[in-house]
Amino acid sequence: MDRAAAELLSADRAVSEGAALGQLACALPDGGLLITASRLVEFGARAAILLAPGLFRLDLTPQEETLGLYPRILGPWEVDWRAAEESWDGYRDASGPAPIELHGTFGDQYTAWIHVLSFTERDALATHFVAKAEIRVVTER
Amino acid sequence: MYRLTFRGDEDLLDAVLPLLPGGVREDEDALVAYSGAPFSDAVLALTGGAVDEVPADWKQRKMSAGVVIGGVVGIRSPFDRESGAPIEVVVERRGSAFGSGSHPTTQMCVALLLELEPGGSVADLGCGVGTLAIVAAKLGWAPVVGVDRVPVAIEVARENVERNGVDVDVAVSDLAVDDIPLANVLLVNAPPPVHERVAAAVDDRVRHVIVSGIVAEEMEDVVRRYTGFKIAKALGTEDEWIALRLSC
Repeated sequence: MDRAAAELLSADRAVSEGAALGQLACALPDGGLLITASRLVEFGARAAILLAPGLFRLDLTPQEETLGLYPRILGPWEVDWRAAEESWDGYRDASGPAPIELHGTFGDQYTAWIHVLSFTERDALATHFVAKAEIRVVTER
Repeated sequence: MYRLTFRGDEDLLDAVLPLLPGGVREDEDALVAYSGAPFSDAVLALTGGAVDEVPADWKQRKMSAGVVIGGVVGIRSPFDRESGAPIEVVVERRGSAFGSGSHPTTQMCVALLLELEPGGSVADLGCGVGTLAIVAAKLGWAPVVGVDRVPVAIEVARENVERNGVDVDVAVSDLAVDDIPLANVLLVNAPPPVHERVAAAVDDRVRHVIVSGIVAEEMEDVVRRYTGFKIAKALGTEDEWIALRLSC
């Protein structure tokens, strides 16, 4: 792994820059990076849930019946995001489809697989999220 | 509870969102963050915003009265206080059912319906818990029907119809495969594939189609499919939801 990749996949950096979000991170056995965070986000607020320094930040805006997803690119990347269509209704129907999944490709160098679980607490006008991202160098797959 | 009000763009959010676990809200052209603890010096320096104190239950105070649309139709849950609107609609939702009235597309559809003189039939296609169909019936449209592919939505819609004392016929129907119920006014708060099927089924009975459930970039393609109809009124939200009244 070259120096740039090592910096982007640094668990220490992900923990440090995501500290205010309560983000946790660790290296994956194959050299990738795993980041994860959980949060209660109030309806209507746009909150960062995951931060991969130098690659992306994922913001979420829960409403009572819909969920806004804002993947923000951090760097000069050409990024292709794809969502698993069968997971789109996962936000509104906890008993139904799978959790929300996003796949991102950063140029031809890195991939990110993002997985978001949610549970809406209507009385609190807020949604609990548990999110994780696995980030890998493409050549390592 | 502390409230921070500031202005900025996505570049500023790149710097401050990782420091604001509770996130930010849009309030017209300003951004607002709330925190139970004082904001950090770093956040204050980055945003240059103004801080004031608000009651801890500000959100409940703001959100526990449902919504009032056009000063005429109030939509609320059974747990909210009465809105005082001339027409009060009380709806409950459960599970994955859609249409409590909280979503902007529902509200915009009501606003567009309010501009029509009641008289004639209405079909609410993708009716969820029946909110729009119930509003239509309360406004004086008849007969009113509503269909949705989600059984629990129709179960709750029947309860809501009874709760509001209106005459609305609701039924489970998958608009992707079943026949499309037609009426003088169609309420279609649904994603583009549903509009594609509805547009293909529309005949001379249909005078107006209230279209929503789509975002700005989908509008052109959806409108094009409703042959013979023109946009009579368009509404939109800052987060790109669109509602249109198409008339012929």
